[in-house]
Amino acid sequence: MIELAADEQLQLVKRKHWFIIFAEVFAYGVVFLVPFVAYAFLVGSEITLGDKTIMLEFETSLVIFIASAWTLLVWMRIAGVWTDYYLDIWMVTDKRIVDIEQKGFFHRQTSVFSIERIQDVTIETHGIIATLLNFGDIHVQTAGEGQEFIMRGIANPKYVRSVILRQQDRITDTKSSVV
Amino acid sequence: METALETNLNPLGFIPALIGEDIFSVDFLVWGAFYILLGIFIIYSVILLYHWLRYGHSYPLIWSTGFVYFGVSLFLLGIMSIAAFNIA
Repeated sequence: MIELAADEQLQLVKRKHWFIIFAEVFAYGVVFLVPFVAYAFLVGSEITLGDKTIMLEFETSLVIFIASAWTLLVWMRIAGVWTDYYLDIWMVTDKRIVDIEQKGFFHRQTSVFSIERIQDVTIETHGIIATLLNFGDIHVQTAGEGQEFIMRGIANPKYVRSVILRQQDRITDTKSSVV
Repeated sequence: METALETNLNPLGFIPALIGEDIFSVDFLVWGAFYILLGIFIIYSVILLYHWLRYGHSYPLIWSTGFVYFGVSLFLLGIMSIAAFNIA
């Protein structure tokens, strides 16, 4: 994952809440069903063109061929969605926060933030599902250029915030005792 | 009184007439679509596999994911090829 310093300890590893990927896969599931529903309505129906009446029927093997091709395409896309979910990861050590985001194939962004420079940690929970399932966004404001990074769709954000703030307190206490 | 002419339209039946039987045949269309999809699948799968192996953290999870993904995919490709044989 990342290389830790000799005196650095990993405190927390987090991915997005399972509902995030469930919602996306569910959407693809609905899209997947659309052609089958359309086929169920169309097959055996009659279309009138002028004085001609045409009844739609499809060769069974052709239907199976198209259905399995469509299923394969949707399956491949779902595998891509899972890959994107699995490769997005946040890590909290006792010194820094690492935000690794897979933005697409061959596009990976890794951001590192020093815990010392964190000024504010805010939790944001949107909607009834996020509230019931206990997931939300964590906004971390850092010093210097007023940078903010956001951890979206994190499960149990209050706990993650507490871990971050605990590390910050530990660093502050260590500096105070040295002084 | 003339009755309405009823025809059962087979989507495959008019394709050779529309686009010239000498150029395209059902064989060409079906198997062409199959091989195009197979090519897309191979390229996409190589890309997925590259990302899993390069950035994945848990080898048991990667192996089980690969097993499920390729198992289902090869099953679907098998069904496609069997259906294609029965069409052409």
